[in-house]
Amino acid sequence: MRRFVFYFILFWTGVVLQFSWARYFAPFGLAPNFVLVLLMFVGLTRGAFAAQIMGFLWGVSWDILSVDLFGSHALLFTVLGYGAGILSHKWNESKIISQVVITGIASVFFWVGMAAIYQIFAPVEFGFRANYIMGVQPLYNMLIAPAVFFAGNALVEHFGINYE
Amino acid sequence: MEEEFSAPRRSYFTLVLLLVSCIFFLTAHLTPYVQGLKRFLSYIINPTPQAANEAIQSTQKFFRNIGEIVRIHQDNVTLHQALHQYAYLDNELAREREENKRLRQMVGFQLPPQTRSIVARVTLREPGGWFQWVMIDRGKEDGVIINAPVLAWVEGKPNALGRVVETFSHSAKVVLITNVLSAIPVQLKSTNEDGLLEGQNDALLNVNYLVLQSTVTRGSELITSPLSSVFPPGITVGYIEDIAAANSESFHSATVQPAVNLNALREVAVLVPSLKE
Repeated sequence: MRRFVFYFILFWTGVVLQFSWARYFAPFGLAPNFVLVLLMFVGLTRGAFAAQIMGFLWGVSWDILSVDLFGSHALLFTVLGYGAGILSHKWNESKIISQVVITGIASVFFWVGMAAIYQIFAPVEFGFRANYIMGVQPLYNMLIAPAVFFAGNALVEHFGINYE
Repeated sequence: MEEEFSAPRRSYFTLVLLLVSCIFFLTAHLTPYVQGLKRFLSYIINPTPQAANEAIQSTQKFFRNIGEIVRIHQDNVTLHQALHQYAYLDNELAREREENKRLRQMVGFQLPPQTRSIVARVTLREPGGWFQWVMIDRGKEDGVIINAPVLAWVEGKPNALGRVVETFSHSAKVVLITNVLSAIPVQLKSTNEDGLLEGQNDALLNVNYLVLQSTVTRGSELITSPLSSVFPPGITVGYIEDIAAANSESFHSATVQPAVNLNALREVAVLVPSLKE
């Protein structure tokens, strides 16, 4: 039950942070991808199963709340969650460098994957256009990753859930 | 729940299921079924970010309101200070207007021949000698001389107030008509009958030597007599308040209310001989 409540809170925290409060952390219109960083935290600390489900739910939520291609975020976050999950216990996720590197790789993968999905699934009129955010957002995500991991760990400790 | 599905096979199975769902969404994103599903899910997801937004906006509004309250309080304090200042200025303006009105009345006065008037302010009055003397702010240097008559204006008319008894460089002492040392020859304006008006160190005066056959009545006006060596003739001094019973075989006396309000002395005019050219 505690795990369910933990994931429930984590899910809605991600939704609120990304879709409501991200604008307050957005200098020059550049907001961090909180969901992606939280997903890396879930993947590295909780494993592939939890991460891919959380990734799918966050992705579907994103697709519902945005005008992007429906299913694109769900697909990317599911894959990213699974990928982070299979790296669980193979990295020392408590080290800041690990958190920053995995977040950076995932952020780059996110944009490359998004471009690929648009190329494959989007109709011609929905062409994917590159912009400066794709280059800068991974750095921003890497910058906030330690804080997100710290907050996530604090939440895990608060709920007293053992690491898997 | 997690442990149950933690086995790699379950994980792969779930991954495949989720990926198939995603690909279904991607390929069928324009179909009514997916559109309906999206709309249905948006009813579940949407309220939370909206509520979070409202929470943030309410918090911002709260702090804005706090700031506004502080600013309004500061404005209020500043406006209160300004209001006090304006109230003071308003009083000042009313005082100046009154003074201006009184001075205008003095300007219209027809002076006796070969005299000029010096306008002065009453500056000092001692409680111990309230009906005896006052100090004015004009003195020797301004042309004030001893025994000069001093007049005060009431409703545009000059009235006898007293005479100068002592002069200093820029001030002078005026003995009021109510001083017991003051005795002024007066006459009834209506009959020209003479009498002698004497002070009593009191708010009221006493007029003596009114002949028994006099037709004096209450309210009769008394003016300065040509017999007065100090005041020019015809200046109002007071009004008969009460007529006393005869105290001798030939005369009776009366109580007189001074024409001047002795409790509202402000500007006065001192009559002095005009300067020789």
